[in-house]
Amino acid sequence: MAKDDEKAAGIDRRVFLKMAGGVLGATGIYAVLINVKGTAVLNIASGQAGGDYDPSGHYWGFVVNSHNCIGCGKCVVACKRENRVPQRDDCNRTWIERYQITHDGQVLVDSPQSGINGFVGRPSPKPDEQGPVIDKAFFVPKLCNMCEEAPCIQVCPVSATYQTKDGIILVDQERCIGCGYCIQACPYGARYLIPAGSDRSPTGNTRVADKCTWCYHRITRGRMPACVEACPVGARVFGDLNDAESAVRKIMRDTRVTVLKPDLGTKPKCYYVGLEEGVR
Amino acid sequence: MDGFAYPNETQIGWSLIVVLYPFTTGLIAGAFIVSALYYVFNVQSLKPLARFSLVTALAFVIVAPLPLLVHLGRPERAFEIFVTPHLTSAMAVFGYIWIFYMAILMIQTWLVFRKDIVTYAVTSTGIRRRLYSAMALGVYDLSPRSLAIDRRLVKLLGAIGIPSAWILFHGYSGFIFGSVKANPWWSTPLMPIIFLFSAVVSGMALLIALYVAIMGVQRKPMNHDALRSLAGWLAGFLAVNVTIEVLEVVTMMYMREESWETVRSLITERLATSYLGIQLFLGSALPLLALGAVTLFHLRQRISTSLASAAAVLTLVGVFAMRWNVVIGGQILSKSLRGFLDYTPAITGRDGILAALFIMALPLELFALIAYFIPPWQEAPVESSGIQLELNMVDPRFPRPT
Amino acid sequence: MKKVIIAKAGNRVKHLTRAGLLLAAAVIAFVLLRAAILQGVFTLDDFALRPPNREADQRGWMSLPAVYADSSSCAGADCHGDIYQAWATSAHGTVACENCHGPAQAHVEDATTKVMSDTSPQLCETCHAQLAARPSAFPQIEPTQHYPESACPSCHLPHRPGPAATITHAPEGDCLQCHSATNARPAKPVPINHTGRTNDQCLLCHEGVKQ
Repeated sequence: MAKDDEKAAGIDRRVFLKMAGGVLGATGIYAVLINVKGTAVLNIASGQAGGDYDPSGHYWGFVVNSHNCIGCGKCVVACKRENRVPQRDDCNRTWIERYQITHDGQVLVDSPQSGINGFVGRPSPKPDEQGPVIDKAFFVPKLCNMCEEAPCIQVCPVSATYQTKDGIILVDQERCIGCGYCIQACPYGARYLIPAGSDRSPTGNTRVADKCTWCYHRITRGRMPACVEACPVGARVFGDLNDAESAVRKIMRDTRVTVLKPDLGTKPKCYYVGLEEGVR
Repeated sequence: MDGFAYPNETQIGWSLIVVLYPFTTGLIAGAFIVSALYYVFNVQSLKPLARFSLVTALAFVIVAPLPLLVHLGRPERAFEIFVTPHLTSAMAVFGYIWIFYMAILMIQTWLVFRKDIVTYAVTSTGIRRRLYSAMALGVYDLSPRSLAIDRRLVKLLGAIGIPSAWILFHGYSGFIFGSVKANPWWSTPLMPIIFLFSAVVSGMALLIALYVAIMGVQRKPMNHDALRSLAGWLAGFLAVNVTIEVLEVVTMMYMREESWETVRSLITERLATSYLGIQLFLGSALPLLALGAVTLFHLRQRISTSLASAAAVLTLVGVFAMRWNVVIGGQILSKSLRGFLDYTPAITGRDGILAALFIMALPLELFALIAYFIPPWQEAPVESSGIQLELNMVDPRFPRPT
Repeated sequence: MKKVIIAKAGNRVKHLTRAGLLLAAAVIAFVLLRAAILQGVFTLDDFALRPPNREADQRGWMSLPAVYADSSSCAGADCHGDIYQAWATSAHGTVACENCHGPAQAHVEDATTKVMSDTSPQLCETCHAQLAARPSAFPQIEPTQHYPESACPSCHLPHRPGPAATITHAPEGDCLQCHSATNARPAKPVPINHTGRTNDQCLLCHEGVKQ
């Protein structure tokens, strides 16, 4: 009698354990299935990489010489084509800014379509025309600074953004979940999200973060980044910071260089010649 | 665009949907604090609202990650946050914190309502009986000893839950913004503190509004003393909250760093209505006056409750405006410090106003569902339900109940 | 009165043990699932937080195909060696071939692939139109005033650009009789694109007689 009464009250231990075991078993089967199919999940484009390239033998650096830049936009064109960057104005791995300082101290900054078509035909006030008198004007090319203390790496929630041994910061676009935190965290505006439905994307993924890679696929094969090749006036210089005779090290010896927003402590590896207070 | 912004900044990445997320987690943390005030600190005046606030917190916490999931570029990869979390990222710990905190809330709710669940299990039949039986995990033990153990566990969980809710679950979302040195409107060590206090404020306001609305609609008697007590707590936290918020901006104004010019423009031009008008005036100053009147003066119950309800609604609007001002305000300000961008939320689409309304309605629907099975405003009367509990063996350590 | 028998005396925490079991089962299930997703065989590495495909991703970025070649790729003797020589020592020697001819890696790999040639004035203007922000030493012209009706290459050879020279004598008969590229007489030859021009056209650019 006691046994019958006991059965009436709730679920007894055996039944409960059976149910719990069933849940565990189902999870186990599911885990095995995922394992079998799983190789398809994390699939990346593998190809013939430069087999004998050793990342730990290099530490890449960049110098932008704003004195030389003529704002022609060829670098922007070359970058978009080389890296299959979406054609839109809000998706840029590199861009050019124009600074015009007027006679009364105003600073006018513009970047029409990121400078891809140059700056011709955009308002260029001259003293005899109507408009502000321009005392000084110059161009500043921008790109990823490959910060040593990169805030973008710090904030990525899934470890999709990382730095290689040769100093290049890359985005694993198979892992990126498109949360956009890295884009908020970059002080230089160097990152963007590849829009949904975009027909152009470096790795074929959309709705993930992308940014300049200093043409990692070119520099690991002994070539220059596409923007450096395209620049007709030597405003962009690329080289190995480990090599004391490289072009970048020579410039850093011969001229005073600076970085953008040094007070933020990001320690960029892209150095600038010819910046001025107010260029951010 | 107004002035100059980096070309990539014209993508406003975190939209209205993302604004909902700190708003929701704030409501959860706030509602939970009210329950903790009773279960941990024994504030007796809040006892009538304790179960109510626990169910509210639970309903919202289950839905909490939905705004984020909807907004991700790749929601199908969201599990990566659990698989390879990057521990330097405040956003990465979210996945585990949410699971942890939801577990605490579920266990607490289960323990608090266990007596009701067992009673309903025994007195119902068919599918309902199976459901309640499953919820009870098949154990119908309602002896005073087991209930006493439950109460102690509830207190322990509440004690763990307070720092979990405040610091982990909601404080971290303030840290997500406050630690971004790239953005002068976000970057401040005060951000997690501001988020914490406005979370408590929003949670308490939600409870007042929800309680008055539900009891009013069901024509049940309200506990006006409990409401007045909660209004007093709300007034206190609101006062601290607005002080810290204003302190942050006043300090920026005093220090006049490089970013001050553009931040001043942001506050006085782009965010004038939502910051000065709604967040500070309608959402903080007016409610403080109303709540102060309710707390300091002995008003008639109906007037006191009406004022408290109006203040609660205004406070909720004010906290939502605060989330908007932080999330959207920070993005329309260009990091070049030379211009502003534009953002108007879409109506349709994943990021649109309709999606936002749908997501905000979900926890309320979940609340209704939970309350259907375990209504928080009535204790299941064990004695009059016609069941008698019996131990089948006598143990000298546990005397038979009389 | 309905009697409900509850658990045996002494076991007042049966509900807690069951809850605890469920929780433990959930944690174990999660750990299994995570290890499976990381495709591990339960080695310690699989419980580490670093993504397992990091090296593969880096190799993936390294192996993307190039779209642009570089100017030295055009230099082969079987290719465009002559033009390359003329260009490399000219004022345009720092202007990459592909700036005007578009990306050429495909053409380097398969010479039958066509390469474009942009001779529009807009292209020249992106560099050479007068802009306040350009260094003043950089050669610039005002497009609306500098022979807007002519195409730029009609006076400025792209591979060997330079300003049109002033002439040292008054025209005697047909300029091209002496100044043809194939003429053996010791008059300064003119570039290939000058064939078929009349004296009026010559004097448009070669105005002014040097004394």
